[in-house]
Amino acid sequence: MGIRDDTERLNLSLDSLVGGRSVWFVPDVRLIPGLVWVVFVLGGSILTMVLYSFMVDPLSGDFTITFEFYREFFSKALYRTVMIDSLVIALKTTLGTLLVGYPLAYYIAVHSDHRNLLLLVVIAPIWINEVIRTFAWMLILNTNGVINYVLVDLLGVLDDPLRLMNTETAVVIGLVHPLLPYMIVPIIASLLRIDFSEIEAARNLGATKLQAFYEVTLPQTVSGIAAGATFVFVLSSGAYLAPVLLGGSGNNMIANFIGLMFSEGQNWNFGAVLAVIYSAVIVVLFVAVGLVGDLELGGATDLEGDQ
Amino acid sequence: MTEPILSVTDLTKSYGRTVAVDDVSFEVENGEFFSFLGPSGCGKTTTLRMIAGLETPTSGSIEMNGEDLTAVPLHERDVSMVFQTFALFPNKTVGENVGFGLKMDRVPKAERRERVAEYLDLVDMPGFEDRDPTNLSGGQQQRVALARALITEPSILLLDEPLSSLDLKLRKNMRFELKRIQDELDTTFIYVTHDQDEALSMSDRIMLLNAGEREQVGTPQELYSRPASEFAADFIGDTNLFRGAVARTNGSTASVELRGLSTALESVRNPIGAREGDSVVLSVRPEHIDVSTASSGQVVGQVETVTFYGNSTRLLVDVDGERVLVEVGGREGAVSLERNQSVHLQFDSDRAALLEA
Amino acid sequence: MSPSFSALLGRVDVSDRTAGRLQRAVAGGVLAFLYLPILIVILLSFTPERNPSFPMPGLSLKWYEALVENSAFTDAIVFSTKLAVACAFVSGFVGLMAGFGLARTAPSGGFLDERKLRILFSLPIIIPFIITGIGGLVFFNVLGIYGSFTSLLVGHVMITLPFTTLVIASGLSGLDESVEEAARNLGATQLRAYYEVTIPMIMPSIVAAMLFAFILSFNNFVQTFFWLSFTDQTLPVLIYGRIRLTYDPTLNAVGTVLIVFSLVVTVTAERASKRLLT
Ligand SMILES: Nc1ncnc2c1ncn2[C@@H]1O[C@H](COP(=O)(O)OP(=O)(O)OP(=O)(O)O)[C@@H](O)[C@H]1O
Ligand SMILES: [Mg+2]
Repeated sequence: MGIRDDTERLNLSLDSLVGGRSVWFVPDVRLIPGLVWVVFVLGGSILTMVLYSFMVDPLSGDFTITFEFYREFFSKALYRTVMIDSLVIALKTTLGTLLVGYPLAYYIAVHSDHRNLLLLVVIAPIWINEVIRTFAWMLILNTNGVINYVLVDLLGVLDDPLRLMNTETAVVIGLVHPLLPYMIVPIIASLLRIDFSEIEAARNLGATKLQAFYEVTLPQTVSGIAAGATFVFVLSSGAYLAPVLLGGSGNNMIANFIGLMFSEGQNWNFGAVLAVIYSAVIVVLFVAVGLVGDLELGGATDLEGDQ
Repeated sequence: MTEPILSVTDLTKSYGRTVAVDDVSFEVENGEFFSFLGPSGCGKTTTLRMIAGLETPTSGSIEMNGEDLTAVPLHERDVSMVFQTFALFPNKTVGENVGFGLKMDRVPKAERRERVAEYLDLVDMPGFEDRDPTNLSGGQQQRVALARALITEPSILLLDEPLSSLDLKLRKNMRFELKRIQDELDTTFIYVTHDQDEALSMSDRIMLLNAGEREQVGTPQELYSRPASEFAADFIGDTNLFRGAVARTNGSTASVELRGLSTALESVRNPIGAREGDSVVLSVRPEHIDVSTASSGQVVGQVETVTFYGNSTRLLVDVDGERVLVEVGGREGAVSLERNQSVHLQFDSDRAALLEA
Repeated sequence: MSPSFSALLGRVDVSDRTAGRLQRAVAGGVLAFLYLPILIVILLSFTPERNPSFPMPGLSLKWYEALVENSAFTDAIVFSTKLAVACAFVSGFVGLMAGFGLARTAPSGGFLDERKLRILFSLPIIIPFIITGIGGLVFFNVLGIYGSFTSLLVGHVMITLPFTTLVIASGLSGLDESVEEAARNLGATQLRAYYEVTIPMIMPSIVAAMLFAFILSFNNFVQTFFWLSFTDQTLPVLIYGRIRLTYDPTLNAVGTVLIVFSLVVTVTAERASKRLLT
């Protein structure tokens, strides 16, 4: 009796380990390598980074705790400005992707007979190397690039070439381009959920196309816009390549400063502080957006790319 | 009686707080066609899966030919299963599907080919070896699944609602096919269904399950004519359930007052040992009620509806506000009965089943 | 405010035909914006001139020849390929296991239910790349493997694991579990059942997952930039260095190769995993 009970209990707990589906706190064994990878490598990276933000040199065993690096951040206006500038560029990029992306999303969702093919066409550039993509924009925006060739040499609209490179605009364009799919896909998803007989109804009631869009369609895609905007904002705020290659020395963003601290500057502590504060801003943003509207980020998580 | 091939004792399976199978015991005889019958979610599949080894019992024992089966790993059990979804291997041909069990048993290729042909013959699909199973019709997939499960000559074949994804006509044909194959091979079949017609028409014996518990085990005739509970009477076939009380007992029979109908049935068989004054339920099948327009009968009622079924006619009769379902065989009587007509009903007390309330 | 704005919109009305044309034109414009930069790189890779000029004076393959003869590029291509292939296999294998675990875990209501696991496994791509980049740099230093091939592999597997895991899990979620059970029932051990039935059934997802991992690893720039030592160069990091140095037309050639290669691989993967084209 007693032995039987014990074996049953053992069987029960083994159930969750082996084929069973009821997971309480022992995960399926097959998850373990992946979990170790995420928890150990990602967790380890973030933990050591956080440690560096308030310990002088933990790598060589100096675990003295100091908040001097944080104090340095808050005492220097430069870094605050960079942080804010980065967020402003991210905001402009987000608005840019929304304005450029929404019409295409609308077209694909509502009109297209080849929806899946077009979706693939929109998503495919995500997989193209981002260095090459940024390089392409250099070819276009340069003083002797494509745009100036068209405006000055071909059409003769301008006498002198435009200075497009090494401006904030160039950075924003260089970010809107790779991030468009992240805005378009969630919007398409939300458009596809709309019952279009509602729009017919609104039109029957005398609304013009624009009115019907503004009163019926647009409000129902807010969740898609919010999801897309969150993705684009987060990804663009942490941009590294576009500011360096298209923005020049005057348009560095937060990621460039963080990177700088870990290469030539060799001030790991301060770099870690920047990284921690930047992460905190992003987390707060995520939480805030999550509180305001329940985001459906699922739709877009499976199309991530580089950035 | 011979030794049972399978004997299940106090079998229980719980998932967290839900008890899927609750203390179920039964025995299956060698060569028998044994069915689990019950409504959706009553634990039929779970019981079957525990026999197959796809699920570990929470408690209780399963013995096959007197040996503990729970100790045998699932891939070594001498039982085969036909899944509800057929579960054919889409990456293998029909022949490879059917021969899979033999391959696992390391049967040489030549012999395998011969046996596959033989079993495809058995299920009436000769020459289908090289076909892609995903391009077969539902009925053909079903046959392949059957051949695949039978080729290893298991002592017991488990079938989980194998006909439920087929259309009605095919389903009826496959019933005969399954019986034919079972007769031919003399294998023990344990068959899961929620369709009482299927269970009644194919089984040697049926176990009726309700909410994880065993309700009754018996032959189809026993289940139909001697239901052991209100649930059993109601689930199998159509019946009238009348509430009442025992007025008198007399040896193995009882006289029962029916509350709603204000009449009494004399000498009803009393297998449950009800005593005077006990509240009981009486189950009377529609075909065990005689109807006549003449003034003889126990109760009088008005015909509410008349439904013609071809070989029989069913009446819904209103007796003092209580509805009684009556079946009239053949064409006789049916023609002359109409709505709102007054009729006399006579209950066959020999065939009424006395049940605990 | 809203009603008045809406009323303003009410004054603008166009015929269905005009609206349709307008929408098509805008959609076409946006698609052009997406693909024009890519096309320009491809176009310029065939110019015979050193500095880009329009109209192009002719066609030539000289920059492709220059690419093949430049050992810095070919070395980087070999190094990137090695890394990406290793990453595809390790990430594919770990992701295969994790995908199984994920698909077989209760959807919700547990300490580590499927929903939470999905978020956990997505973290490496949700967290900004600069953070994982410098985090990894510090961590690999702590572990004493900074700059090694191993550290790059460990890091690349981390950033590709979300893809391999989720692609394989979604392949498995459409799978009838009883097929594997049928194999077990017919006498296959668990491993044999995987080999005979389950793995072949989700092979398209596995291939897609590995292709995604390969391309992501091959193209990764930000993290790799911080994780690389001075001795090795991946192709994207090398290209970045060249771009900063000076304009080199060979870059158009290598860019074209990368674009075509990436698109072919990932469109194949998207098709195999049936994520889009169903
Ligand atoms: N893996 C599981 N986890 C939790 N609960 C389960 C699991 N499998 C079955 N159950 C529960 O156990 C009960 C019995 O399920 P089972 O599948 O055996 O019923 P069934 O009689 O086969 O029903 P149906 O006719 O619908 O197939 C149900 O309440 C079901 O929800
Ligand atoms: Mg079932």
